[in-house]
Amino acid sequence: MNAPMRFGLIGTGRIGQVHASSVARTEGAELTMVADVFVEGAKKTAEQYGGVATAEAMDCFDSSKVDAIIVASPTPTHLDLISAAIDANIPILCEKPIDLDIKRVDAMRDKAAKATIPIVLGFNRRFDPHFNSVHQRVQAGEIGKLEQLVLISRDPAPASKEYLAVSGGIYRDMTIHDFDMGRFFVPNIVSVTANGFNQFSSEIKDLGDYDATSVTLRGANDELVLITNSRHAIYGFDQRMEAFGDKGMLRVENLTNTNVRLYNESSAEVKEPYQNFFLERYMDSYLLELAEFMKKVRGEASNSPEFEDGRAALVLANAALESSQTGKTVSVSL
Amino acid sequence: MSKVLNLKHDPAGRRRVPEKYTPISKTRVKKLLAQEWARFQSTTTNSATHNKRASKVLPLGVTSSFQHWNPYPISIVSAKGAYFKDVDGRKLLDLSMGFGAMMVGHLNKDVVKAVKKAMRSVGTLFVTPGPLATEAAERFQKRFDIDMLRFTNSGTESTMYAIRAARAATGKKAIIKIEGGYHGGYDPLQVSVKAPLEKIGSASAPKPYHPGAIEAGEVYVVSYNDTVRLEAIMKNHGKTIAAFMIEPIVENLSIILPDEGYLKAVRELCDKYKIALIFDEVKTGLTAGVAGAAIRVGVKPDLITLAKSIGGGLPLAAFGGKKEFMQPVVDGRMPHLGTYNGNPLVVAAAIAVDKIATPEALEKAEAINNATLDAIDKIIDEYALPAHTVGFGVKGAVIWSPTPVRNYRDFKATDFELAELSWLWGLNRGIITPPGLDEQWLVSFAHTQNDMNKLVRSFREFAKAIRG
Repeated sequence: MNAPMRFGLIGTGRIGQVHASSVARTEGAELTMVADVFVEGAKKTAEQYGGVATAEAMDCFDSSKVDAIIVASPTPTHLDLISAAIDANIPILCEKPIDLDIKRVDAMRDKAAKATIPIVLGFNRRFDPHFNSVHQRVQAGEIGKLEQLVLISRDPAPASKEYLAVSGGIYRDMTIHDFDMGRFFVPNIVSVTANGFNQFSSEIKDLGDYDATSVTLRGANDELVLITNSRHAIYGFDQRMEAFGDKGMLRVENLTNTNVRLYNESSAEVKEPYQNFFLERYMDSYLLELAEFMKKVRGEASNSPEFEDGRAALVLANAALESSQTGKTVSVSL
Repeated sequence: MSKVLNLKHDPAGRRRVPEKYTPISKTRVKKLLAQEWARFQSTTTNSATHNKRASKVLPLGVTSSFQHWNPYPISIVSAKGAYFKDVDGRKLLDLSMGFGAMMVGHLNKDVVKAVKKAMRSVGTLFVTPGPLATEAAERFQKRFDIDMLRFTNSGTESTMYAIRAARAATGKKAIIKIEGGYHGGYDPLQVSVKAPLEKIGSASAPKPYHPGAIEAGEVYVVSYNDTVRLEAIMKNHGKTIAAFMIEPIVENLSIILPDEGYLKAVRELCDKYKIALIFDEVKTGLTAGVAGAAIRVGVKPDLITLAKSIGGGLPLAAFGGKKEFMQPVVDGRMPHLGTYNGNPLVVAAAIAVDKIATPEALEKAEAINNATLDAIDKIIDEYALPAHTVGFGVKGAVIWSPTPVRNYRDFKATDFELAELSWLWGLNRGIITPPGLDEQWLVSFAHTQNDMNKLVRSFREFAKAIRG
C-alpha cells in the first residue's frame, strides 16, 4: 500500500555494492539515485540495482527523488555529506569512520546535535545476529553484571598498500569496529591503554602504522574491554567475542559456510576454513543495519548508532594511538 | 464517568486511547517550552522582521487573526506540494494545508492547469451565468447528493446563507449551535466559540456566551454529543428555532468524533421539532471522504455548507441542500447575492478538484493517515504518554488527554501546555501544523508516507524529550 522508501547511494565501491544489494533485497526500499565521481561505477550499479546514475553526489540531496541517503564514499567526504544531508533535511546512513580528524568532527558536532534528521553511522557489526544476540542476552541479565568483554578481530590479510596509506592507521580503520562494539556493551568508556606492534609487515611499518594491537578499555563502572587485533590470520577472518559476567559467560565463535565436518586418518571433526572476509561474515548485518535505519527513518523505535557513536569511536581510536605512542594510559571523556 | 468512557464513537472515525499512562513533569514541560521558544526566536529572525513590518499596516501583521501567534508567526514566501519555504529560507513540511483547503496539495498541477486555461481563454468574471459554474454545481450535486446549491466565496458566507435559507424555509429565527463550535464570522455563529469556562455555566446546561462585538439574536448552545439537553432546548423553544448548525465531526476543537448513533438521534430530533439540520462541512467535506462526512456517517442534513477542500486552494465555498430548503432562493424569500460567486477561475479549480479527488486518491491519503496514526499510537504506548489519537478521513490529531474528548468542556480539560510544546517542537523541526492548538494535521494528495514519517520521527524525539 505504501510507497517504498527511496534511497540515494553515494559511492559504488566494495561497500557501496553491499548497500546497493541490501536496498535491492529489502522490501519497501528502492534505489532511486546512485552517485559516484567514477560515473561508470554509478551507471553499472544503477543498471544492476536500479536508480539514476550521476557523477555528482549533490544530485542525491533532493527530497523529490530520495527519502534517505547512504554514504559509502571515501572517508574524507563523510562529514561534508552529513552536513549536506542536514541542510537538505534527508536522513543519512554514513559508513564508518565518521572522519579521521576529530577537530573536523567536533566542528560538526553542534550542527549534528541540532539536526532533525536521523544521522546513522555504519557500525554494522552491532547488527550481526550473533553479536546482537549476546548483547540482548547481556541486557536481559543472563550473565549477571558484565565484567569483561573480550573482542578478537583478525583480518585474513592486510589490505593493499595504497589503501593502508590512506586508511588512517589500524586504530581508525580496523579497531574502530571494536571500539564501537566495546561501546555497544559499555557505552561510557573512561580510559584507553594500547600497545601497537609491528610483527610481520615491513610495508605497514614503513607507513608508520602497526600490524597488530592490543587495547584495554576501562568502563565507568570498572568494566574491562579487551581488544586484540591483527592485520593477518592464516586461517581466515577471525571474529570472536566473549562476554563475561558474575553469573556466566556468552561466547561467539567463528563461522564457517557450512556445518560439514571432515573425519579422516589424520584428523577428526575438521571444519572447512572460516568465512573469508567481512562480506561473507557480515552480509546479514548489513541487511539488518539497513532495516534498523529504515525503522529510524519511519520514526519507529530503533537502535541504530548515531553521530555521537561515530565520534566516540574516533575519540577512542585517537586515544589508543596516543597510548601506543606514549606508553601511557589515556583518559577520555565521551 | 465510566458510562461516558464506555460510549462508542461513530465507526467512521478512528480513536485510540492508551491503556496505561503516566503524567509528564510540569517542570520539565515549562523548561522545554522556554528552550523551544528560544530556539524558535533564534531560527526565525526574518519572520520576526517581517512581522514588524507587516504589523504597521495589517493588524497583528496578518491577514486573518487565525494566522497570528505570539511572539510572531512564521512568514511563508512560497509553497509547493507538501512543503513551504519561509522567509528564513527553510523548507517546512506543511501539515496545515490551509486548514484543509489545500487537500490536493500546493500548486496542484491539474488545478494550476485548469485555472491557467480559464485565465487564458475563458475570463475572470462575467457576473452572468456560464457553463463552467453549472458544470461545477452539477458535479457537486452528484458527489454530495444534494438537490441544489449555490457558490459563495468563503465558509462564513456559506454558513450565513445556510442559516438564512433555514430561517426563510421554516419561518423561524432562532438557532442552536454546539458549544465551542466554530462556523465562521457570522454573528449568531460567533456565540460560544471560545467561551471562557467561568462564564458558561454547567456542561449539562451551557449558557450562551456572546462576545462584545457581535449582535447574535436568539441563540441556544448545547454540548456536542448531548442529545438530552438538545431535546430539552427543542422541546422548550422549538417553535422559534429555525436551525441546528453542527459540524458532523467537530474539527475546530482538534477532532471530536460523534458518539455512535448521536447524529442519527440529532436528525430524528430535528425532524420531530421541525428544525432544519445544517451540517457545516467546511472543514470536513472531501477530507472526510469521497462524498463528505454526511454520507460517510449515513445521516442526511437539510442543508450543508462546503468550502476549503472543494476549491483546490482558491476562494470557493458553497451551500446547498434539499429542494425545500433551497426554494427560498428560487422564490426570492432569501436572495443570495455576490459579485464573485462562482467566477470562472474558482469553478475551473473546483472541476479540477472534483476530477482529482477520486475514491482511490482519497483512500491512498487516508491509508497514509492511518499508518501515521498507528505509528504515533505505538510511541504513545512506548512512552506511556497521557495522550491519544483521533482521525477522520485524511485528518489526524494527537490530543493531550488520556481519555476521549467528547465536547468543548472535555477539550478545555486537555493539557494545553503539552499541546503548545508539541506544536512548537514540530515547528522548530521543520513541521508546520496549524497555529491554533485546536486544529489537526491533514494528509494531502501531495504527502507521501515518507513525508509523514517526519512527523512520526519528530513525535518520537518529542516523547523522549518530555520523558527526560
